Amino acid sequence: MTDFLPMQLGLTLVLLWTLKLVWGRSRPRLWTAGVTAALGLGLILVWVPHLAQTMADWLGVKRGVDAVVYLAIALLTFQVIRLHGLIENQSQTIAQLVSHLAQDQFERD
Amino acid sequence: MAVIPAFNEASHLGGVVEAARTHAHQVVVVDDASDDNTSQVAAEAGARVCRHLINLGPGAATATGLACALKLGAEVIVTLDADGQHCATEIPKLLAPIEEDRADLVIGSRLLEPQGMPRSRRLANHTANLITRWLYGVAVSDSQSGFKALTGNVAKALELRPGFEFSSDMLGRANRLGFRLCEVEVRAIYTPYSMSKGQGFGTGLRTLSRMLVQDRQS
Repeated sequence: MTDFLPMQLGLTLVLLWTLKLVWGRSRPRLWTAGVTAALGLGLILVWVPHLAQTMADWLGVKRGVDAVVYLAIALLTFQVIRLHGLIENQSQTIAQLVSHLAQDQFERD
Repeated sequence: MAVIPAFNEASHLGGVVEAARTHAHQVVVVDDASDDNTSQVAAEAGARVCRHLINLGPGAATATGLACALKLGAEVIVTLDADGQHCATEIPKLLAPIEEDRADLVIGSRLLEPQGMPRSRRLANHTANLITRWLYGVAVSDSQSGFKALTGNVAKALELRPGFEFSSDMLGRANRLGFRLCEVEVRAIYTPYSMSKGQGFGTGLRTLSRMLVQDRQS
């Protein structure tokens, strides 16, 4: 365990708040478990930073900090693409709704 | 029956509708929530008008237009752009393969004889064709053409995407569902106005990103 740092406290609060949000939403169990695992790993790395080096060794990356950055980029990229897909699906639903409304009005006219 | 999706096209739409009416017994204009008097111009030119409450893009406007045409009993539908880029006189040429039972969906290709097409447009269209071939498995010479003819059965089976990606998506779905596709050569009239209304570089990139994240099997 490293010495206490305000940054560690701040990151812990953010991660715990995110965890609360995740558990407060009704989502598939697998999804909740995956996000909880990722956030749990984040919490461990915040409080036991030298584990990042062990993780980097497993992943074949030189420095622990690089491993954390690469993993964060990969997870964020996945989330951005996933969100893009979800937004597109919502757009499709809105388009269908508006189209149906227009067709109804067309029939009435 | 002709379907014309339109967004802020009041200045040119009247002429397009009048020209289309000489070759189609009914014209349906879908006003995609224009800020100008597109609906009024279309109605005055003799079109049946359907209006979206919010702007959704050409794909959704085309889908609404096809649905309206089907409600009016259309068996064959021609879609064309509202910017005057397409010659309504070529509608019979587009309908011929369907009337001869050689095709279910006919694409009016501007690239079989691309005379007059600006080089930037030609390059963009060739790129779009490559992407359409890669993502949707359909090899055509003009995947982005808005000048198409299709049977009522094709129109019923399609569920179009809202944006500019609808054109490639339409071809991909029709091909997957086993409909017969064919292309006929058409002329396109490029004016500063029609050039300003088409897909720019930014729209092209957004279209590509949507194509990449969409579920193409749905």
